[in-house]
Amino acid sequence: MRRILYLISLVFLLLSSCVQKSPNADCIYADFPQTQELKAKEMQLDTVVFRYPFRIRIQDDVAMVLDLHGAEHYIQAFRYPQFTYLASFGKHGDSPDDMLSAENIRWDGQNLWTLDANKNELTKVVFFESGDSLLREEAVSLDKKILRALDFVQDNDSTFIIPDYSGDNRFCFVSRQGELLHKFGNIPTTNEDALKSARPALAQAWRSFIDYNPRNGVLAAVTQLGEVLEIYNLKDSTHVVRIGPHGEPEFVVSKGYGIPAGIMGFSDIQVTDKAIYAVFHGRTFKELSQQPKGKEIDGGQYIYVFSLKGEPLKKYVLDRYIYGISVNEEQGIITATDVNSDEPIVEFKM
Amino acid sequence: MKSKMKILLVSVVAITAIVGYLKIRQSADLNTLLLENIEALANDEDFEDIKCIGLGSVDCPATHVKVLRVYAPYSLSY
Repeated sequence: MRRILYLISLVFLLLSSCVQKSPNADCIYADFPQTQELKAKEMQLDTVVFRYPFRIRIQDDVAMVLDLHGAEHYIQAFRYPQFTYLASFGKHGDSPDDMLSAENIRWDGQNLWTLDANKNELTKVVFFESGDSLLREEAVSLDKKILRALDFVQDNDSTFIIPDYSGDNRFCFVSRQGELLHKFGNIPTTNEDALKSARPALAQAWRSFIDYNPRNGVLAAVTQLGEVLEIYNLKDSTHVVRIGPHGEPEFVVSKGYGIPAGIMGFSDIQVTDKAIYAVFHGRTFKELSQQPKGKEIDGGQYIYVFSLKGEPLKKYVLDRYIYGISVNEEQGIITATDVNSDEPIVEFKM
Repeated sequence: MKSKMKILLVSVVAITAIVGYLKIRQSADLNTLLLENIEALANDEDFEDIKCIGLGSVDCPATHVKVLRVYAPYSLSY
């Protein structure tokens, strides 16, 4: 009789384990071993007014700022570290040379790449130091099989890595000519129902920001909703998933679309030679909606630092809410954008 | 004879459990699909029920403009 009971309980155990897949305990992090508060120093800009400074990329003595809702231009160039205005690029408009949207910008030597998701196009911009001007050099139309390019990095001179909304895979490898070469990675969710019956909505909810460091081969992605960090080491083909206390992205489905729920998660990420830096918001949409009208604060008050293997190292608590970051590890400086302030570029000393 | 009865009993319990599990799963899938279909039929093809509010960084499904919040009162939780 005991054996029968044992066999019955074994059957139920096997069946119940099939019902819900829980995340591996190794994936989960609860907190950071170190916490440090940082105070911002405002950088004085001379003329430019931003509507939503979303990304900042600094190289040598030039800083490029992407204004997500730029009224006239999406990209502004400044002399660094003085932040004197140099030039504008990416006129908002319908003509072939204009841009319909701007998702991100990346330095490539002395050139700059920008992604226009609405035009499904990557544009190479040349910065002429002598004339302080930015000129469009070439445009790469992306393969129509890519279902809305959400971000991009360059793997080498001949390949781009692009996450999209298809939900079949995490990333697309795209040739320099814009052709889809292959896809890789899967959404590391435990939500089997969504995987089975709401994959496009799931892909929207798992919208991620990415960065890649070709020196160490680390491609990292953080989710805009929830608290998930993924690390793909393209050199040794390892994949690590780290899930924070806020868990996976939460969403509801309406008309087949993934509608954000739960919390705003990460808004930017940078992979340096030593670590991974990510801006974290951690506020619920309910909290955001309850802010007084006209006094809404947008952005994240935290910068999380992880090792290149994904172990939590440090949490910076900031005295303001920021969006995009540019980390200079050698000088110990983080330059950030603040969408809430009239002085939208700030600096933190680590 | 006794051991044959035991095997029979275990087999019956196992089969019942498997069939029960599959039925529950099937009905859950059907419910989700059914609800999505009902919702699709109840709404027009426009995006009236999806509200995109403010300036922000969240992709509005209707326009792909980046907004502060997206709100859909009639939606399914996942």
